[in-house]
Amino acid sequence: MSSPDKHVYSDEVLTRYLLGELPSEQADKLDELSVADDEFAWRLNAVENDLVDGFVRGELPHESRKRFESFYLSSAKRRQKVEFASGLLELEKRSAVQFKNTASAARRPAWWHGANLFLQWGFAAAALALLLLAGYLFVDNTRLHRQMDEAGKRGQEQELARQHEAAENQNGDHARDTSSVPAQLNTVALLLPSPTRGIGRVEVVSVHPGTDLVVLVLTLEPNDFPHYRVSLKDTATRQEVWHSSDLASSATGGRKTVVVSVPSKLLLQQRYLAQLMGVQPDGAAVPMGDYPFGVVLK
Amino acid sequence: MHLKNWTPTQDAFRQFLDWLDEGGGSGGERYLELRRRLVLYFDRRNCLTADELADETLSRVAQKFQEQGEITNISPAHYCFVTAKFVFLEYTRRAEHSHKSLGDLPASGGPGEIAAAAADRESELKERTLDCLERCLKKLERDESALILEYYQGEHREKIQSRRLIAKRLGLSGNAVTIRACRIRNKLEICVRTCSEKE
Repeated sequence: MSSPDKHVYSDEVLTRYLLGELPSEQADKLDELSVADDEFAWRLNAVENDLVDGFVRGELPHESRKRFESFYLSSAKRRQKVEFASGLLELEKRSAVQFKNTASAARRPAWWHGANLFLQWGFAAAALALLLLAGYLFVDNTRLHRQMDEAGKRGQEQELARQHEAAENQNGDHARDTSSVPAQLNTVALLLPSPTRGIGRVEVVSVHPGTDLVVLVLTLEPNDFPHYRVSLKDTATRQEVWHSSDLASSATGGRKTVVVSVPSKLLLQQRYLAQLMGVQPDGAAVPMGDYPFGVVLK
Repeated sequence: MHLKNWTPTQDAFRQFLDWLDEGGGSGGERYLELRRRLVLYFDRRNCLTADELADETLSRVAQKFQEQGEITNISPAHYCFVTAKFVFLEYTRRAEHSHKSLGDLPASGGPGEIAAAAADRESELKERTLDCLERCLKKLERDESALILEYYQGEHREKIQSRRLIAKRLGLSGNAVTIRACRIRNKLEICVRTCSEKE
């Protein structure tokens, strides 16, 4: 069923409906739409989720909160929704606390020198789990090793050492309790379309203070290269500011992609080009395309 | 699938599902979605037995469909709603329901005991919900769990901006992303509820 007047209902009206505040005539109409109209039913579903999330986050205005407590929470089913939303929020908070712990560990004096394998794996494991929790992308351990090594060669040893130290601490926790969730690095991801499909578009990534890695996801056109390499260049000067080691491709959202993590400390507020090269079995690199993107430092 | 007070033949039930699908071939998903909406409708009407009333509604619709062979001039979802209204009216007329809510209240001690018991229960419930949520998230497809964690996190403004970016990244309209997120959340909520009830 499609109702021509369903669009007149704002989110505010839907919220009042969910809080039992509408006159019965109007509520009857919305009852009907909530069952018989697909589009309306999904919209109502979305508004209800946001209402419940708003309640558990303490974002509701005073009157709405009171109404929520007196009306919405009177139903056991609706209380279950609230419990669920609280759980989601709790997960988010816990992952934030874990990140904070990692960050604070990273600020300790850098007594750690040199990269040993144990620490490298700890770093990679922490990064992997945190990327997972952040809802972004999985970055495999090996790739992070290589990127770390590359960054190290480019004078980033000290910064990465601090990150390793944090990872080491985290790794120690793992040894004690393998069921605990590892700490996370603060990452921000940017999906870059294939150059042939994204002509004219420049994606922008916002880098907030405390961001450790900018994860670039380069979408590939079909090809058969066993490995790839990414060179990051300043768009204006064309000078290389960083390059990756050899990377494997992976499938992200049904698309073939190359995922590369760039230490955010290297980035300034400007435009960059991520130049992708396919690496042939004999080691020769073949240019595949330029992925422009901009950085905004927050 | 549970149809209250009516046991259809396999054939009749399949035909009923096909009719609900309106050619969509959802494999029973449409039935579940309509049942979910009916439960919510009865629940918003503060019915104590929303699940039973939703089943009663679908049972009546299915029986009617079997008797008549077809129901025309009205969409299946709309027909379900019309039937639900009658079920609701009958529910409100049954005098016992008006007292059931009070009768269902558990025996309670003094205010102090209630508060202490409630706090204990809340804490236990919270841990159980979290445990189930983590387990259920692992059961989702990787891109589904990533989407739901990203879509529902953050404060108000941050959330709006983040959702725009998700839509852009996935190459979908904001509406399409919202529906996808709602579907995943519904699935997750059901999983968490089932998990919590088992424990």
